[in-house]
Amino acid sequence: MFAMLTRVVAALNANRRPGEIASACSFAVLLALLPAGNLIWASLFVLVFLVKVNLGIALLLTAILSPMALLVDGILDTVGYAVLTVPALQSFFTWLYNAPLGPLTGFNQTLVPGALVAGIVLWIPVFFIARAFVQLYRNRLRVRIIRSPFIQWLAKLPIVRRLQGAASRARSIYEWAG
Amino acid sequence: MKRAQKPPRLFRETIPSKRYERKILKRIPLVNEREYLAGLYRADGESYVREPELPKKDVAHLKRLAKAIKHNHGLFQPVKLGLLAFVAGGVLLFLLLFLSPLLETAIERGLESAFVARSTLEGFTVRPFVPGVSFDTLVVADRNRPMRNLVEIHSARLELDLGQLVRGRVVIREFDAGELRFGTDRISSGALPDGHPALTGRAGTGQDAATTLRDDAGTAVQDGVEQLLSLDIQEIVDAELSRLETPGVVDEQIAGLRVQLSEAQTDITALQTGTDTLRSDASRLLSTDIRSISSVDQLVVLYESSESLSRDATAFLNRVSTVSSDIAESRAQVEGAIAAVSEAVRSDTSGIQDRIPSAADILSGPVAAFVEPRIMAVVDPYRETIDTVLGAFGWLQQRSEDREATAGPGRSGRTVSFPSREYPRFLLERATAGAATESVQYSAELVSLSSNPDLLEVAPTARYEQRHNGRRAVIAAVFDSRENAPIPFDIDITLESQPIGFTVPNAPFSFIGLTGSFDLTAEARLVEAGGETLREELVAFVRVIPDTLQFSSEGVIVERVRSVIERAGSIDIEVHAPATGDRTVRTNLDDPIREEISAFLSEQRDAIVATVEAEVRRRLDEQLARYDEELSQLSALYADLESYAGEARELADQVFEQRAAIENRITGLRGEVEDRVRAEAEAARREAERRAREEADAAAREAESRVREGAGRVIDSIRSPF
Repeated sequence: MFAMLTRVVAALNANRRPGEIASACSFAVLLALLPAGNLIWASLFVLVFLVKVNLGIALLLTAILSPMALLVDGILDTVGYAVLTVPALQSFFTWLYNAPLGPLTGFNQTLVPGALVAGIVLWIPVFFIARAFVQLYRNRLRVRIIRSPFIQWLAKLPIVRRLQGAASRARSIYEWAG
Repeated sequence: MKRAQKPPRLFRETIPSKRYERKILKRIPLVNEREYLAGLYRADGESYVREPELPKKDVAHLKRLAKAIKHNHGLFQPVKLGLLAFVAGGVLLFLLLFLSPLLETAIERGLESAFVARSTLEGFTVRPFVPGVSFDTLVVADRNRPMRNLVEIHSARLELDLGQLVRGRVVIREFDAGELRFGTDRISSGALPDGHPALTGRAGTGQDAATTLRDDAGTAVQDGVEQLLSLDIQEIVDAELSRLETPGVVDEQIAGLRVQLSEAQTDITALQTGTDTLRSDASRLLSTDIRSISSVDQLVVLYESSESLSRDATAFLNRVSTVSSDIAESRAQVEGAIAAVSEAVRSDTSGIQDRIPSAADILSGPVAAFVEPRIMAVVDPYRETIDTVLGAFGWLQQRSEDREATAGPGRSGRTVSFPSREYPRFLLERATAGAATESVQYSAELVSLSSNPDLLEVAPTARYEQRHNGRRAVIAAVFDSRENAPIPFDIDITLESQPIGFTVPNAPFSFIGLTGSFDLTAEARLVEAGGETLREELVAFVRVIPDTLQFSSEGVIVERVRSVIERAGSIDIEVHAPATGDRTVRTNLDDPIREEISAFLSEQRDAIVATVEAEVRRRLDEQLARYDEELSQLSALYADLESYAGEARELADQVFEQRAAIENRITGLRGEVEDRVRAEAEAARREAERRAREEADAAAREAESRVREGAGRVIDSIRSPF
């Protein structure tokens, strides 16, 4: 958990595009909303590993948001059922249902299309909001936070120094891994 | 000399403006880093330029910056993509190299578990692009006959449905085996070694359902036939005579008669004495001339004597009557005894027929009783094989159900179904095998074998047909394990013109074997027998056309049996083993053989009965002869009795007549005496009356004189009172 937090802090301060963190947040929302154990979720999860997004933030946010997704299952179910019963899409869904990989996607489970639609709809706003936050942090908050007396005092604590050292090593590993 | 560090190639001394702004500056998100770079490079016309030599610190910084710029370029991570491709390639390579051997071993283990016998799979190859598999040889041993194979398949090809395979379902569209053999010989034993996993928990499976063979059925029939053949007339006669009731009856009757004869003899002797006494007593009375007696007293004495003699005669006659009745009763008893003897003889002779064994008693389906255990001995191993196949089938379904039960998402939600064909986890749509040589043609087909037949419209079926030198064998089976299937398993077997030749021990009628050909039509199936219990039901018809019949001995019965079989032309055997109830086996020979044997036995029995009856009659005459002496004694006694009785009756009559004469005489004498007495009494009465009158007159006169005297005194007194 500490390593994860370290990676998050390192990512916020690293010379990385804000879009990486923003897309990580968007992916995290999508992965959290989607029920696990189907081909769509697995594909998105693999995609997160393959594209240049901040993996730490994506995994951390997914872990945090997944339990919360249960709260919106009702909405996702309604949305998903509405999608699955659109008359114009019935032939497509029937084809997909009979396609070799179709049932593995779990698309006929209302939560899956509901979460997919909700996740895609939320993807762009979350992306821009997160990117704006990262830019705000880097341009304004970062310096203020670093220069705040509390952080200065905190930075002098021995344990924090050791943590900084560990964070530095983690960052080097993170950067080495790309 | 240590070489001076150079900055990365990205940060050359001169960088075109367009490149500097688009490729470098734009990819540095941090402002301070951009400012740092702006401090190193200055604009020079169409390009940016830096100092040729940079301090180590800047070089290191630029290296970090170059790394960040490189990272910030592009959407994907090429290293991870490459790693993924490498792993995928490695897995694919691994599968290509090792999947076939691994699957080969797994299939062998699965087959050994299903058939509980050694299974060998060779040349197994996975063909991922067909997709499908193929193998050169598959051999499954027969667990019941370890030195033989249950099935042997060569050059087989199998096509899978990749789409269903990806979805976790094994759907075999086509399975084609170039060569299929059954019951081939093995070089090594096909039995699994002790401790093999396939043997665990299988002890006794199939044995419980196996039919208990009636090994003694043939022996029982043979015993019955031997019993018929060994009938000894003299022995039967002796046995029957030993059972006769007549001698006992006769002995008892004669013993009783002898007691009665003794008593009657005593009575006759007493009667003889009584007759003599009566005669002597009567002679004195009868010799008296009644008319000569005029004395009443003498007559009264004589009458009293005749009265006593009459009573004695009456009592004697009563005694005679009693003895006569006793003798008559004894005679009636003798006659009754003779009748009882006759009845006993009739009963004895009529029971003989019942006690002689008949063909119906001994030969209740002689051929069927012999054939039944042998047919079931042939059928039972296959029933066990069927149990094994059905067990493997159930195992397949169970495994499928277990795996399907664990599928499904964990979160709430609804599943929307769309029109589709749902496949079971395992489906073999069609498997064929066939080959043809000059002499043998065979084909086999298996259709719709699946782990969940309820998802299919048709039940799994299997068919095997073979033609060989004009012979034909067809086996068709239906494994319908669908829910509510009325018949879960049904197999039809048709064999035509199959050669047959065998020898058998302990067969009835000295039969030891035959050669010929046979046709078979059989249907075996599992039906529900209450609840979830399944029972086997078998209906089979076998027609054996014998060319040669072999018997170990010759004889009348053997000859008759042979003639029955030759007349029938074939041996038709019908087996009906219902799910509930008794198994029945009928043949076309049972009734004719039983009738033939019955006719033979009837002849034998008639001879026996005639002999026994003649012997019984002869012995009856002997027994009845024993009554002659008693009867003659009775007749003599009866004659004596009649003699004595006649004489006694004659004497009694004479006595009665004499007594009547005495009575008449006494009556006559009584009249004379009464007249005389009456006259004397009249005279006496008259005399008495005269005397009475005279005395009365005298008394009257005396009284009158007395009265007169009295009256005179009174008058005197009156006249002279003083």
